[in-house]
Amino acid sequence: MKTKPPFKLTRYFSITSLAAVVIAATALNWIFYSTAIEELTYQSEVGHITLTHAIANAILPKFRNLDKQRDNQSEALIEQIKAKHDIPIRKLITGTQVIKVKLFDMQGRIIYSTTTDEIGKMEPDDYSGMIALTKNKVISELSHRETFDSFRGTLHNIRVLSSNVPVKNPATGEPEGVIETYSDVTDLFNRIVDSQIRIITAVVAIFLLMYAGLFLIIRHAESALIKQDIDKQKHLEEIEKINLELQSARDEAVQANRTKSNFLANMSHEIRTPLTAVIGFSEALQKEDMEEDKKDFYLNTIISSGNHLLNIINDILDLSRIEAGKLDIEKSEVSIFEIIDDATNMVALMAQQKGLEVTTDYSFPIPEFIYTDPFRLRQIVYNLCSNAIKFTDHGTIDIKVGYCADDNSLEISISDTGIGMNEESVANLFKPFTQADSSYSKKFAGTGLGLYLSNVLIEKLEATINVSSTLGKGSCFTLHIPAGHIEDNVQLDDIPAGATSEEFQERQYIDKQAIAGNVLLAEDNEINQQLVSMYLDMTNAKLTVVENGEQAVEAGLNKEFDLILMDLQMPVMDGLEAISLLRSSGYLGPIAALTASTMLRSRKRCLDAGCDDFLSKPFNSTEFFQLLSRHLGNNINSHQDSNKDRNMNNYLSSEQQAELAARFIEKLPNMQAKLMTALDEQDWDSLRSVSHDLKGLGGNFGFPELTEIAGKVSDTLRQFEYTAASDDIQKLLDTISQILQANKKAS
Amino acid sequence: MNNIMTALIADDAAMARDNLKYILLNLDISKFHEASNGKDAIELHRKYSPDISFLDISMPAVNGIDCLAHIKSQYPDAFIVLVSGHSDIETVKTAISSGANGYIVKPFNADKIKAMIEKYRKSRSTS
Repeated sequence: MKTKPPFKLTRYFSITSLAAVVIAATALNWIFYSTAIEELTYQSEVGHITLTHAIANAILPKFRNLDKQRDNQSEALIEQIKAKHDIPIRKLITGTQVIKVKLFDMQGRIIYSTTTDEIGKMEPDDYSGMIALTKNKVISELSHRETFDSFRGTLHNIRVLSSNVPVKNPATGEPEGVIETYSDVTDLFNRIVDSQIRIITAVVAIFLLMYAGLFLIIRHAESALIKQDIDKQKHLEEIEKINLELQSARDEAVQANRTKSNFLANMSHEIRTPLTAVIGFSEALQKEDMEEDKKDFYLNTIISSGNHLLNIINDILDLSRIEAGKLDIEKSEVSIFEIIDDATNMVALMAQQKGLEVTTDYSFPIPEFIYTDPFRLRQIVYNLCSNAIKFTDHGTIDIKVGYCADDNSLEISISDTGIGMNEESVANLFKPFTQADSSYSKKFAGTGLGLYLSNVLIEKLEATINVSSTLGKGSCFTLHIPAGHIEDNVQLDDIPAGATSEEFQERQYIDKQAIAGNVLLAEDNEINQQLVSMYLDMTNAKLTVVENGEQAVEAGLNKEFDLILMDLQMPVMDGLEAISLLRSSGYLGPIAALTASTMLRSRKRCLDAGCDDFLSKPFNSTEFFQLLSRHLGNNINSHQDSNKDRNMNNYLSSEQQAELAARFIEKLPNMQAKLMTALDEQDWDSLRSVSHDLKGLGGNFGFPELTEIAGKVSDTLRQFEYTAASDDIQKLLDTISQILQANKKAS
Repeated sequence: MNNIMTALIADDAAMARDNLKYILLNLDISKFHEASNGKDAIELHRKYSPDISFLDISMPAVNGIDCLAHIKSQYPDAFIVLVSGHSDIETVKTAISSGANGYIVKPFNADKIKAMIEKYRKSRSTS
């Protein structure tokens, strides 16, 4: 934008500078001129006075006589003067600048002049020569003459300096007359004028130079000022813009806050409803007398309410991940048939309760696998399906799946015969915290997050969604998802085996009785401990519970476990550190991390630390049993009695074992004696050392009971609880005796 | 399995050494060097550079952890398993931070020894 200069600096500067130059030039000129003229006058005057003296000395006396005859001055006299005096005077002044000499007496009569015509004439009283005479001082005048009669002839246009010098009679000292001398100072004068012009030119040039410099500086300053002004203007505009932005941001924030408040109120309702069911039915279950049917109904309601709550929490977690930009996508090869089947299974109960039918129709050929995030795609399909069911009271939900080879994408459309929406509602459909109509939330359960989350996930998967809807007739959501590139992918013409619902169910079925083995749970939360314990009671597996990572490491090194379930967040030592310590110690068995975080990053950390599997908290029984069956399935015959197993050195032949046992028993009486002596002498150190050895050896040589009691003694003594140890020491001695006796009998 | 593995067994209890020896024999390891204290263990290790060493922690003269640290300072690649009747976390942490390749708590069964041999073979095949 062009702006007027705020200051007319250059103009003011120009005017003042010009005035200054003029004044300075004039003043300088005047000073120089007057000085020069004064000098010129003085110089000429000195010359004139010298000349005057010469004339006065040489010639004037000759006029004295004439003076007396002046009354009767005649032509003859004049001629005489001319003849007698003219020549010497002219000789005197030839070669000087003097161009005329004039003498006149006290009365003003010209008694001699180089212009002889003037001789005899009278000068007026106010003539400067007369004033000089009266004042008895030299008076000089500089004047310009158009024509001047010099003794050399008539001169034109000259500068003349005339000096009137009074002359005194050397004898009497009385003034006798005045000699007026004229000098031609035209050259001198012109030289002065020339110098004057040069000086003025120089001065003006210097001033102009200074002015030019200053002008540049000033102009620069002015342009800086103008720029500053423009910047200021710009800045103001920016501030204005920012203010507007802030204003709109504030408006948006206020609006968002309002929406969130509504959402929270709605959410609170959403959470309270299932919680009420959970609490109410749980309390009802506390009553002892209850029919089985009723009990089952109550339990089912509690479970489904719990699952519903879990879904809400998962949605909120996803939302917070989206807002924190931490929603990770993990793509892999995925069977669309399994995804669709999973999703329809998840909504099957919901549809059944409302008396709706969910149909699936595949338009073959469809690739066997697509490359996408299975978890997120399932979530999207589930959200769309459950949404369709939510807003449909009668009819069917139809899922159609097809493949478009042109753009290598999969088309999944989910249509319902529900209430439908108008255009405005369709436009607002994917905004967070909104349902198509806020009044719906009273009638239709839901947080209003599902579709928003789906939309974000759809973007993350580089997919697109189209919605068509007719109010009162129903809606159709069509999803286009890139199929990705997979090598050796096959186009199928039928649903692959293992993907239909029945087969799926079969696949999902877990024989809990087949799950067996020793499980270590490291978990500090008592409720989760109870939950895992309850689940494991349904299987043939045995559970050991520890409360932190340290205990988990100790337990893992001491006993054999077929699976370790490790919570990640625990006091004293967290799960990750415990896992890495166990792995460093050479623990090779499977370890599964129980984590509240489903994020890929934390999963990667777990893998790095050395864990084999994950289970996200909260988990349902199916997920838990799936995990168990992955590691403990068909384990029924191994580790059935872990103690027995642990006592056997199963890699040793029976002869070797027997030989080892015999050698151990050989030394046993010696150790027994040592123990007894130490007990008598209260030598706790020896007692501890011997019992420690027995603990380490007993089990390995086939006497687990010895290891158990010896370990107890060793531990008690290590804590300096001697009185408590005494009983156990006695038991240890008894055990040794029993072993020795048994051995005797056997041999 | 192709090469004959040698093992160093250091434990002050002869029976414990025997036990371990039998287990290792059944795992196709037939060459042993035995030490009854840490000092001998260090000397034997220096002399024979065994493939895998089992050091008991509580030994006279030089204990297992010091012994481990000493051997590791000279042979960082040595594969050393500590054996102990204690499983307190501080001892385990010290052992692992001193460079132990494994930690076995007494009483142990053959599976644990087998796991260590597997770990050794894995470490040698990857390096």
